[in-house]
This record gives sequence, C-alpha cells and structure tokens, in this order.
Amino acid sequence: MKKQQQLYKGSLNTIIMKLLEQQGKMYGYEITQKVKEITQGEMNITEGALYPALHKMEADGFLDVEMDRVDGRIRKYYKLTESGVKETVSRMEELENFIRNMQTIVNPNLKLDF
Amino acid sequence: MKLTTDQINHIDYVLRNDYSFEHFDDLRIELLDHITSDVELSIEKNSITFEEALPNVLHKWNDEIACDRSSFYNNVPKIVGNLWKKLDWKYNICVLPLTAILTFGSIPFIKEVWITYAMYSIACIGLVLGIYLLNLFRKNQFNTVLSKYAKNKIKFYVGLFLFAIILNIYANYSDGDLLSRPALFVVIHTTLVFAVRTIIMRKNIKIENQLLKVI
Repeated sequence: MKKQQQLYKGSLNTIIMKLLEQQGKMYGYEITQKVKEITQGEMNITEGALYPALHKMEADGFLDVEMDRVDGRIRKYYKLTESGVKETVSRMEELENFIRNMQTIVNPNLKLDF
Repeated sequence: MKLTTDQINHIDYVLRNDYSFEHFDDLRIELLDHITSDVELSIEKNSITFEEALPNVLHKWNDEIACDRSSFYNNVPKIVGNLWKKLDWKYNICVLPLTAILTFGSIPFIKEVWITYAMYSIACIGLVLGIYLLNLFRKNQFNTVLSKYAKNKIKFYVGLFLFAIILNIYANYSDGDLLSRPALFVVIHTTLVFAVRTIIMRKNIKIENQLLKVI
C-alpha cells in the first residue's frame, strides 16, 4: 500500500486537475474524500501534500479560487483557469502515454484503448 | 452532524493559539474548513463526541501544522515554513544573479560618471517601490502567508536602502565628484528585492479581495 502511494505521488497534480475538470469546482476536503471514494480507499491524499500542490497550481495560474460562506465557516473552492484546462489535457495525454508504456512493459499482450 | 458556531470557534482558537496560525488568516480559514469537515465526518462515522473527534483529527495534521523547531523558520507552522523556504529559493535564484550581473557589468565603466546617475535612477525606482510597499502594508486588512513573508524583512531592507543612499551621497559630497559608488550593490539588490516583493503583494491583494467578499 505504501509503495503504491509513492507511485501515485508523481501524478497528484494531474489527478487534482482531472477531478476539477470533471466537477467544476471543489474544496480541499472534498478532493481528498472524492479520491478516496473513487479508488475505494486505495489512494489517500495527505493534507501535507494536497494544500502545497493546490497553492502551487494557484500560483502557476492553473487554478482560480472562489470563497463562500458555508455552515458557519468560509470555504475556499478551486476551479481550473483557461490555461489550467489546457494543462489538464496535456498532462492527461502524458499520463495515458505513461500508463500505456508501463502496460507494454508489464504485460505486452494486453492492449489498452484510451 | 454539523458543528455549532462555538465548536467551530474553538477549532479556530486552537489553530490561532496552539498552532501559531494567528498571522495567517488565509491558510487558517482553509484549514478550519478542512478540520471542521473532518471532525463532522468523524463524529458521524464513529459515533463519538466533538471532544473525542477533534484531538484525533488534529493528530493527523500535527506534522504539518506544528512548528518545525529544526527549520530556519522555526516559529511558524511547518506548512508555512516550507512555502517560505521555496519562496526564498525563488528570490535568491532571480535576484542574486541579476544583482551580480548588473554590479559586475558596471566594473568596465567604473570611471564613467553615468554609472552613478544610473545608480541614482535605480535608487529612485527603489524608493518609489519601497514607499508603495510600506503603504500597502499600512492598508493591509488581513495577515496572509504572502503578506507576512513580504513584511518580514522589508523594514530591514528599507533601512539598509536608506543607509546606502545616504552613505553614497556623503561619499560623493566629500570627494567632490560622482565617481564613488559604495552603495551600488546594495541599491541594485534592494531595488530588485522591492520589485519581487511588490509582485508578491499584488498576489496578496487578490487574496485579500476574495476574503473581503465573504467576511
């Protein structure tokens, strides 16, 4: 499980961007829960990794933020900017190529269609 | 189960006082929402009380929100210190080489008076940026990770900048010419520092405006 977490680590930004592309806007806690739900608990985004990644992407101009008052507290939502959408497409292509190449090495007879 | 206002205020108090988030409004607001959501889920899932759930959630966060005593920034939460260290790197990588290039680039023209005029022109830009930054800090309505970082050393740089200018004017006056430039390196360096910090403060204004909309 721990080794698997290491493999996921390199793709953290791409995973966050893909989720934001699908959901429109999300807040930090929602992202951690969504990833846990999709991977059925296999992947756990730690708080220490999530926020620096979000803040870095915000600083790079890939994410825009929106604040709202919810249940007696302020909630910060993240959404993709125009350049964030383009970046997501290119990162997803890279990730798909990576998975395809890994699959070719691990199991040459299996063909993946994305 | 949704937490009450008092319970949310208690978490805010803990973050401010036990974890040194007093001066980081932007990050504290974000963590407050995350920790509150986590506590609410924990109470619901495990059928426990708020008093039992909060320490468990804070324990998960402890490594990130406690001060890292071994770090250069040992009196701020680790999550803040790590960001500041990254900003330090960015600063040093862009400011120091540029200062060195401009300073050493002026050496072949050491006997030329126009270098001194150029230095005083750079000093004017530095002075304007310095006044602009001090004015921004005065108007600052929230303490954020970025504004605190920019504020941290700016007073020192303003002092250093003024000292260098006065020293240079005195040197020029006592020599009776404009060939002495003891402040050249400091003037270039501090002006570049002010310029980079101005960029950071522009980003900070964006964060402040977002906070103002909801507070």
